[in-house]
Amino acid sequence: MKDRLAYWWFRYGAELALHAKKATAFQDHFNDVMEAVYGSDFVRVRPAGKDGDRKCDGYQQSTDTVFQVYAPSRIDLAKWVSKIKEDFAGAKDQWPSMKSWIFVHNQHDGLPPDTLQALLKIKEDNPSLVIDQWPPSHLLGLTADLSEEQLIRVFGHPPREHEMRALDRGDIADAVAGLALHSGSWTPGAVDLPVVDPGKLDYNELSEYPRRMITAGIAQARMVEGYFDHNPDPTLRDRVGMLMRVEWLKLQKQGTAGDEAFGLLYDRVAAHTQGSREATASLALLAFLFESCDIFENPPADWSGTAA
Amino acid sequence: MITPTKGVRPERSLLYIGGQILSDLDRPTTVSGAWEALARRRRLHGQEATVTFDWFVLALDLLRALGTIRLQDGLIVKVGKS
Repeated sequence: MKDRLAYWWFRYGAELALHAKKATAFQDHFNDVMEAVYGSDFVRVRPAGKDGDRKCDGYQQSTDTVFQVYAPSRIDLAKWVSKIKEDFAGAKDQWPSMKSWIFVHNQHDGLPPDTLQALLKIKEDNPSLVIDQWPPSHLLGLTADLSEEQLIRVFGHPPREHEMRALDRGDIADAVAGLALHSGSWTPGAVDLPVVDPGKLDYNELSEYPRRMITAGIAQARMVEGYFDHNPDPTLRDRVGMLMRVEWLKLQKQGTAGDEAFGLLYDRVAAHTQGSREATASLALLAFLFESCDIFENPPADWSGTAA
Repeated sequence: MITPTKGVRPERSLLYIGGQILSDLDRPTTVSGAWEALARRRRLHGQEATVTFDWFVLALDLLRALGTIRLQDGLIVKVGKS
């Protein structure tokens, strides 16, 4: 991929999805990636009526593989082990053509031993079947080989480096309009916010790709500022800042920070984007708000932490 | 918006603009005259940030509320300088 910003954005999206998405959201993401990689060879299976999904979350036709996805937000070990046994038995029973059974999970730190033992037992008891488990890194590997067109199908339109250079105030106007400011609360007295600090990226535990994206977006911070300066409504800048500040505070209250918070704030700005130019303008606006400290926190004066 | 905020730079705040209007109010003038004088002054100081006529009128309102200007025979007059 030639455009570095788009590359960072896709890598960030692929990693974030595997950390942030749980339960059906994770399953939907798995299906999106599999469809992008295998096309019509992979069939997304949706639960239907009282029969549910018949213990199959996705099916690969060429290899007769049944995929079972399990990505709960909280792990109950006993439940997990019994689920593996139940899901496999059900799949074996209901999909007689099955040659492989793959258990897809969201455990980044590895499988608990009891779970692995349950999988090995299934493998031992069913020597004619291919039994395997896919950790999140396997899905990450699959996205790494996708074409740009396929990545757009999974993750939407990326911001682009060459668009960043060409942005103008009209693009920022569209990004601001997308915020639908009338829906945000704003109190004129609550705008005494701190100024930006160089250690902010570290302090807010942003990983490599969001850091690069913010750095790329900040290149257009002066242009964004110019847009606000020339807007007929002098209060617009404060209203945008406060709207996003409120969103940020909401996330903090929920315990959401770092990359995930960055992703959700980006989604808020870029909710209505339909192309890369708009995505790029959304990133420029977000980076401006980061620099001006409307979103994320400045490190305390005595903080001397290092990069996340 | 009366005073500068994080997003309203000083030269766009109503108080600052009011001060600029007062500075040019050496003699009674029309609303249009004050508007043109403000535009001239801001151009001279390289203050490019947009000030709309609505915003200028709000600055006049502020000056009136503070008792620093009044209307006399359809003209704006600095209080104490009539």
